[in-house]
Parts: sequence; C-alpha cells; structure tokens
Amino acid sequence: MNAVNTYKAYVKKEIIEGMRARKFLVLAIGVLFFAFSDPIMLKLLPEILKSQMQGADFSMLIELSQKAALESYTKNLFQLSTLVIVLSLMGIISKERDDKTLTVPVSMGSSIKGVVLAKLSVYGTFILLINVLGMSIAYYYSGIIFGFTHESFVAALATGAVYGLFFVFVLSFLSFCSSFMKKSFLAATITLMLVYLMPLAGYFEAIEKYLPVNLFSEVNLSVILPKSMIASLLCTIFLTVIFSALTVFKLERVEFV
Amino acid sequence: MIRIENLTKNYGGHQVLKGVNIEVREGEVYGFIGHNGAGKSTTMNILAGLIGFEGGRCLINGKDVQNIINRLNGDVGYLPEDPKFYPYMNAVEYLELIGSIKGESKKQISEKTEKMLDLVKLTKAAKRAIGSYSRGMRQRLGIAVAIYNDPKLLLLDEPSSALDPEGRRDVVEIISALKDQGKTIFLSTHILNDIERVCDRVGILNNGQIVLEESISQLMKNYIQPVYDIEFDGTVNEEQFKRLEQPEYVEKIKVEDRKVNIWIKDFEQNGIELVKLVADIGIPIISINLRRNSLEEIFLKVVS
Repeated sequence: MNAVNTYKAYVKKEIIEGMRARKFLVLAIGVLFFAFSDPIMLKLLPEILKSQMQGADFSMLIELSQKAALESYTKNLFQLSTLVIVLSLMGIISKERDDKTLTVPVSMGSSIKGVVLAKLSVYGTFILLINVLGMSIAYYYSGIIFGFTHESFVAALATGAVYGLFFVFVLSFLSFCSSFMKKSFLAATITLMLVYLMPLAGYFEAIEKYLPVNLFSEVNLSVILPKSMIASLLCTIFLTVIFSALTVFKLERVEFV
Repeated sequence: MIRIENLTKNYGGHQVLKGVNIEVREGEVYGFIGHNGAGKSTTMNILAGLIGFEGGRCLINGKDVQNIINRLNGDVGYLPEDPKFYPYMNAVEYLELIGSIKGESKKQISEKTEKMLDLVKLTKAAKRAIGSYSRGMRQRLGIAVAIYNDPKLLLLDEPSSALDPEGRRDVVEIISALKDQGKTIFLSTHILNDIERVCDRVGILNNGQIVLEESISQLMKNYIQPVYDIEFDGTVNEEQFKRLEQPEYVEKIKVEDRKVNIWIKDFEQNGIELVKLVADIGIPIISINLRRNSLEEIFLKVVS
C-alpha cells in the first residue's frame, strides 16, 4: 500500500519537475526537432551540395523519398536523440542522491519501489509518446514533401513506439547506473558508452537478434511488427524490467544521507 | 520510547560510535550534546532508519530498527541537520507530497497543510518556490514535515544551528509547543542555551560514548559552584565580615569594594543560614546570587 501511495505522490512530483525544470521541453525538442528538420534537410541537400560543389548535380546520387527521409530520422534518433535523452535525464536518481532530496521522504516512509517506478513511468511514458508523435510528424511531413509512397502510417506509429521502447530501456539502464553512483555525468557516460558500443556486439551473429539496438535495424515501415524484430523487442522489455528491478534492489540498500 | 544499547558504527576503519547507550522516556525532551563530529548525526540517522550500524540494538516504540531495509514507516518525525527539498516546489506542494505518501485524502492533506504552515509561520511564503527560502525558512518547513504525520517521537538534528537569533527563538518556541503537546523529542544540538531552555534530560556524547546522562536540574545541582556573590549598597570591608568566618561551613571570604564572595560547604544545607547571617550584618543588600555553572561550562568540564 505504501508503495502505491508513494508511486502516486511521486508521479505528481515528477510531472511538476518535468514541467518546471523544462525536462519535458528538452526531451520533446530532442526528438521532435529531427522529425521536422530531416525531411526538409533531405529535400534541400542536393541544392546545398550543388552550391558548395560548383554546380555538380548530386540529385541522382541521393535517394529523395519518404522512405529515405524516415531512415534519416531513425539514424538521427539513435545518434543524437539518445544523447539528448540521456543528458537531460542523467540526474534522474543520482541527483536526488547527491542533493540528498530523498532523505526527508525516505525518513517519512517513502517506498523506494514507488519512487523508482514513478520516475520510470512518467519519463518512460513521455518518451514513448514523443517518439510516436515524432514518427507520425516525420511520416506526414516527409509524405507532403516527397509524396506518400508504400509506407503504412500505422506501421510508422508502431515503429515510433518501438523506438520509444528502446529509449525506455536506455532510461532503465541509466537509472540502474545512477543507483550506484552519485555523479550524474558518470552514469550518463556509462549509459552512452553502452548504447553507442552496442552495435559492435551485433558482429556476433548469435546475439545480434537479441540486442535492443537491433530494433533500429529491423524496423520495417511497411509492416507493423516484423517477425525478425520480436526477439529483440522481447529482450528489450525483459532487460528494462531487470534493470528497473535491480535499481530498486540497489536503492533499498543505499544510505540516503 | 527510544532505547539504544551498545550501538556501534564504523566508517571505513574509524569507529564513530563505540557502544552508545541511551534511554529516552515517553514525553520527555532529551538533549543530545557532543562536539562536531562526535557522532550525533550518525546516531540520529540510524534512528531515522537512513543508515545501518554494525553492532548493538535500537528500539523505537518497542520496534527494532535492525537495518536500513527495515526502514521505519513514517511513524517517527525526523528533521535532518540541513533539510533538502525540491527547490522548484512550494511549501504547499511539498507538504501535499508528504501527505500523499501517507495515503491521506485531499481534504485531510489540505487541512493539515494549512495547520502546519500556520504552526511554523510559513503561511505567507507558502506559494513561493522553496529554492528561494532562507535557511531558517527551510528549517521551519523541515519541522512542519517532521510533525506532519503527528508522530509521538521527533528526532531533531541541530534544528536551530545556522539560524539568526530570531529564527532560533522561533524554533525553540515550536519545540516548547511540541513538548507541551506531550511529544517525545530527541534533540541534538551544540547550542547549549537551547538545551537548557527546553530539555528535561541531557546526554553528552564524547569519543563515541555517552559520558554523562542526567536530568537538567540534577546536572545543575551536581555542577553548581557553592559560591554566593553578594553586592551591597555601599563599600564594605573585611572587618565587617569577621563573624562570618566562624561557622565551619564557610570556607573562604573575598571582599572587594561593594562585592563579597563567600565559598561554603554544602549550599543546600547551609545556604539559608548564611543568608540570615549576611542579613544580620545590617548593610543593605542589592543582590545575592548562588553562582551557577552554565551547561556550556559543564559540557567542557565533562568532555575534558
């Protein structure tokens, strides 16, 4: 019961923090910016290159389509949005430990489980939503610019949700790291190293299909949930649950002073 | 209410608490004194369930505080030395957070929040971001949080340190009001004047152990200096006090201008007789005082 009460109280607290500390705004910009900028950048790229390369025509070398625009968005999501998400949420737990803001609530009977789950729920839900929104914006905007080709809108939405799920996994790992260290930047660095080095593990065929990062390469904008993605999707959910549980386990043994 | 038995706590290789024994009775205000770094906050944090300990036993309301996994369920109010709050929240929102954690209804939370803010005189600043509060205001909010659940036991760690005289007075008044409500208060401070004003008993922590535990009144009696300082309305000389040297309980007399200091044995038994003898001399008296050691002097004597 205490965990439920703490969860409800902290959901409200995290929403207030997300708004007043501009975390929601930064996260939204970090994801949605590319949804707007990628299609138009792709459209303008041949012109930009032409002006830089003394009139050479690159339009034949660059694929100008809705599919290419969505692929470009996906690439930027992995490379840049990860950075924005991790850096803006790096203090999710370690800052509370460093600032000792959990000392009073814990002494008043707050449940650690409730606190951690509230944080993951609020930011996880927001990340999921902005990824779905980002994908739908990218889909429509690129469709308007390049014309709607064979991609399905529902598949695009599902893809956005899958990307969102990947970022929730990143968030759970960030929380896990934060539970071990008070320095936010250290937790962020370790998380970014994991995310950016994970594709290297894909060279081992045996584990490739289980890696969360595989979600990005298995995405198919024509199919709602490709079969080839199921293993990495389940594995991502499993790892998210494991890291969240480990975060709670570790924090319940932390001295909040 | 609180029973601490042979409590030990190590930080790395350094043993901070070396077998602390304390008993705090229900309804009393217990002053916990010690040098900076003596282990007062460590003891407080252990009682609040925030940190673990290596050996011994801590019982609060009969419940064993075994380790931090068995944290207390909000039935003890705790004010840390420097309470930290979410700076973007205001006092109302923070108290609502505390009330929600306890699972109270919106109506209950609203009523209690208003009452608490009034008690700690923060009503006017209730809607201001906590980040803009002074240290004194944060301390008062900390007290409001600590008493929010109406706990029987309060752990107050240096509640008036780093406050200006007005802030200190406010905090001491709040503690006195809580004492009147019958709360049991375990108060750690190095401002000994506050202890003298509100505490019933005092424990002195030195070198990781309790070296003295006594009621304030008994402590003052034990450490009282048996010296009467008398001031007369006019200059006096040693001749006028010759007859006072006759009783065997008078040890020494010092006369200086209008003032006389008289050292005696066992002031409780002989004090009244001495005062009568002084009055018989027939010189108008302006003041007569039994010299007292301040708690600060007693503390310094004990720890040295």
